[in-house]
Amino acid sequence: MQLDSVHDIQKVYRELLQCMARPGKIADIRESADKADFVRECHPATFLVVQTLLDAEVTFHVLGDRTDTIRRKIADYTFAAHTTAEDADYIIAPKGTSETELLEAMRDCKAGTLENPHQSAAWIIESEALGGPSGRKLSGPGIRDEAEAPIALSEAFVSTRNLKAHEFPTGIDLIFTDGDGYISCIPRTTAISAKEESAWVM
Amino acid sequence: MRAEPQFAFLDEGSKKEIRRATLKAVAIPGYQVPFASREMPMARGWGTGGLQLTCSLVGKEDVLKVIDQGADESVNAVSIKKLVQATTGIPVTERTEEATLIQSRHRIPEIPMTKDQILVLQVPMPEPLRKYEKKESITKRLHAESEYSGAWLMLFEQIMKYGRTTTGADHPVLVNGRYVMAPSPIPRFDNQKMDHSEALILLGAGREKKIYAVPPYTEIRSLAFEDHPFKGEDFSGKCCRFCGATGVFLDELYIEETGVTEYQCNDTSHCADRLERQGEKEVHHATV
Repeated sequence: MQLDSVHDIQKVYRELLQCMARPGKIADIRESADKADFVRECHPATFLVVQTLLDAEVTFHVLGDRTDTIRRKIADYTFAAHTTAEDADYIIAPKGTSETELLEAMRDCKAGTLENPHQSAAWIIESEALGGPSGRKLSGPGIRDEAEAPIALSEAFVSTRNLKAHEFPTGIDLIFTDGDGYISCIPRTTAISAKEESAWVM
Repeated sequence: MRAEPQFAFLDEGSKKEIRRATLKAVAIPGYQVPFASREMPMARGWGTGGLQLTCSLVGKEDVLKVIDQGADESVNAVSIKKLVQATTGIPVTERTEEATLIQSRHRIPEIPMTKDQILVLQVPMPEPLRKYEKKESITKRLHAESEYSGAWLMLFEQIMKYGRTTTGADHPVLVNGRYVMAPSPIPRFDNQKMDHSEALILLGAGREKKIYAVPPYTEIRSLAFEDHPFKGEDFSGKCCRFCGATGVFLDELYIEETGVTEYQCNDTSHCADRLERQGEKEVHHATV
């Protein structure tokens, strides 16, 4: 089956919207992801999210060492322009991106201003299978009491993200995609708890 | 030859832009995200913002309900339903519980909405501070600095003049403890329904080119003072003249011939639903 640029993208958007509205929720977009099997450079789910959001009016930045091929694919399909991590509206971290590179880009990326907090970068991060034990809880708007974090997050990642989202309304919104066709979001409003089982190490 | 209309009227590029703005709006609850409001086959100010949101959301599996000030059958609701149906072919309903997408002008349905539903509200005036500040550049700065003394002063002056706040509808709310937001001209009675709502609420202002949102389980507090607590419209001791419902938002009607004031449900589908069930009961009783 061919990917339908109207109906498949609409389905992906609705799932993405519910994920952004309910942080920690893991949505299944496998049906559409299976149709995007022509994509080899990144997860089909990543490609679908990119197709849903990017066009010639926005810019993007790709991290990692396979950046050239992914960049070309995205530019060919969406007509979005590639730019630096500092200026990009969307930052894509393909699987295998080193944490050092990811965190550096996260420190540098746009977080919006107090007047225009929407002028911030949204991240699309490829991850291992979503839904495993993460040891972290999420809370904030969109979450009834607490939700399980969709993926294990390192201490450095959480602290860099928290620093970036420190002064609400500025901040960054994260979209996670996995290789099986699942997505999940952590917007700037979500509080990520400290890791539970780890002992206090000074 | 007649060309097929584009699914959900809008071209995909426009939908993409609205979708990007909507995602930001959800991530920043209560903040008005600017968007390039498209020309719709309807005058601005008649729900074009809500309609654009609906068109960006709708898919083949959706069931749509449109309400105009509580009524499913009034002209604004009917024309919006017709446009969406003509361009998507999806079914429409009047039953709140059957709908997956609910576009509404100035009311939130009486039946609590679920997590599988999205409420889209039409907004004429998204800026709650506009009454005392004309310049957008300044209201933007006021929001940035969380400087809301003007909004409080407005309510304070009403209390000084009239002994109570006089906001009929559109009583400002504080979203997640940060942004003061216009909840669209819903009656004060409906403000509490936004607080920790199960359903995602999206608000669209077509003429003013703004999209904003209230995610589920988000704190919504109506602005009020400690010694002047917020009060919704009070219908105690009154009930609907058709279905007898209490604890719902009622319309007041003055019947000229008899000189009596009567009340009836504002949410027509809720009223019809109750009448239907009462009818079933009567029929059941009659046959037993």
